[in-house]
Amino acid sequence: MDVMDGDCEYRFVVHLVLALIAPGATGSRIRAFLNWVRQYPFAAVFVDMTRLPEAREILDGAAVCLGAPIAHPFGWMDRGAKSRYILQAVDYGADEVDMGLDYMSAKSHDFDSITEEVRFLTAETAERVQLVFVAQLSILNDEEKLAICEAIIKGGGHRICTCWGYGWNTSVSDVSLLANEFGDDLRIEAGGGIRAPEQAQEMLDAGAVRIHSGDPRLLLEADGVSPPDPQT
Amino acid sequence: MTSDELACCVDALFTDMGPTKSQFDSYCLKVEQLALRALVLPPRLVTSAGRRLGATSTKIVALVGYPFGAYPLKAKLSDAEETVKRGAGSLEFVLNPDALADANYEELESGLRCLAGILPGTEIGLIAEAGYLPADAWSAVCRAASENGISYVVCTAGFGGSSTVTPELIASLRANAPRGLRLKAWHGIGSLGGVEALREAGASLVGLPTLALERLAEEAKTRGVA
Repeated sequence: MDVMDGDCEYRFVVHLVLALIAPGATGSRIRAFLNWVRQYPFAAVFVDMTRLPEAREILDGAAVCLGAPIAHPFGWMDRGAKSRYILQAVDYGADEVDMGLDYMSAKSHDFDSITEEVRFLTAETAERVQLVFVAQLSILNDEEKLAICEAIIKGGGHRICTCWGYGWNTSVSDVSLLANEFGDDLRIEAGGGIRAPEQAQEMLDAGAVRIHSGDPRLLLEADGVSPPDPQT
Repeated sequence: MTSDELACCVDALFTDMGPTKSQFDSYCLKVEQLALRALVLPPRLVTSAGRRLGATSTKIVALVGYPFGAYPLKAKLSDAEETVKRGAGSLEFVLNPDALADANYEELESGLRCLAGILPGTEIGLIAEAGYLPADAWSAVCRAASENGISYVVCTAGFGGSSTVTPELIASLRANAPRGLRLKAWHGIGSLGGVEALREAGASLVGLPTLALERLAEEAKTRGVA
């Protein structure tokens, strides 16, 4: 469904999760990016955890949610560390966190461990922040994809992002698979390699509620939004 | 290259997302057979690696803040301390690239002072991706490392934008680093020949992905190294 914002009708902007997670990005580049972001009704914007306090100030009063990735992209932190980092992110002003999981356990078919991790993190932090668990579907087969999502739901999670990106991409069939299996029990955010409007629309039609894109230029163009300065 | 050189300068890097627990066990076995200097891995695997390699001379090196390092300093210091308590003999600590991009060297220096203070005697390597460091930052990192007892600097860990590390890059970084500071190269190295070229260019330590160990073992056998 298209969404109206004043006189503008956005097909993608309201579903888009943007990120400026770029090692070596200067503070001035981040500030320029966020000042551009706050002009539009994006779903969310993600920055490095160390940039959160300043981002919170810049986005003060804007509708866009602010988030940070934790344990990305490998999911390697232990549960205690993940919990501490989430709470620190909340103190810094994060509305939501994209959280890496223990993918080695998933590949080893130890899904109880995934459930326990999600349950622990949800119990510790869910009242203070929206947790999105990144399922990293591109390294899993279909059976494992369903099993990791089931484990997340059993642990009390209800939001997933399909992949981290960085070459780990998602497919429409993945979104369809999960949407058909879990329906309203799982809120699906599609991420990883999504650049073209047709691709994004297929993801939304298949059941994704958000689109994460590290390179959203074509999606912005489709919505008539000028991208930020290339240096930004 | 001799087997002694393998044992003093080549590290295996467990930095892959996909392996299962049993594959991790077989990587540990391969590291033991090759008698490499170290196995570098995430903190949550330190205890498992300790059980498998504890009786060998291979060091267990935990990654703190890997890969991007853009976490609060206090949180990373706390992780470092806990990881050593869990059994890691050495650490590789990823510097915050955001602070370096903003030329905030105060965080760098205070962080290294704190690390040295809370973990005296622990071998600590710094990870500072040369690919995204501003021109002045490499010198600042090297200076702070030298002044705070850091054992070595990892200058290419695979998230710096370049597709692989080259001898030319290492030679250039070596030329701009204090003489006594050791450099370590990772990323895109998959053979003994590659290790030797980087060593000749000035890398004291070289890291190979665990996925390349099988090939390394074959090559070492063929050349009579191990």
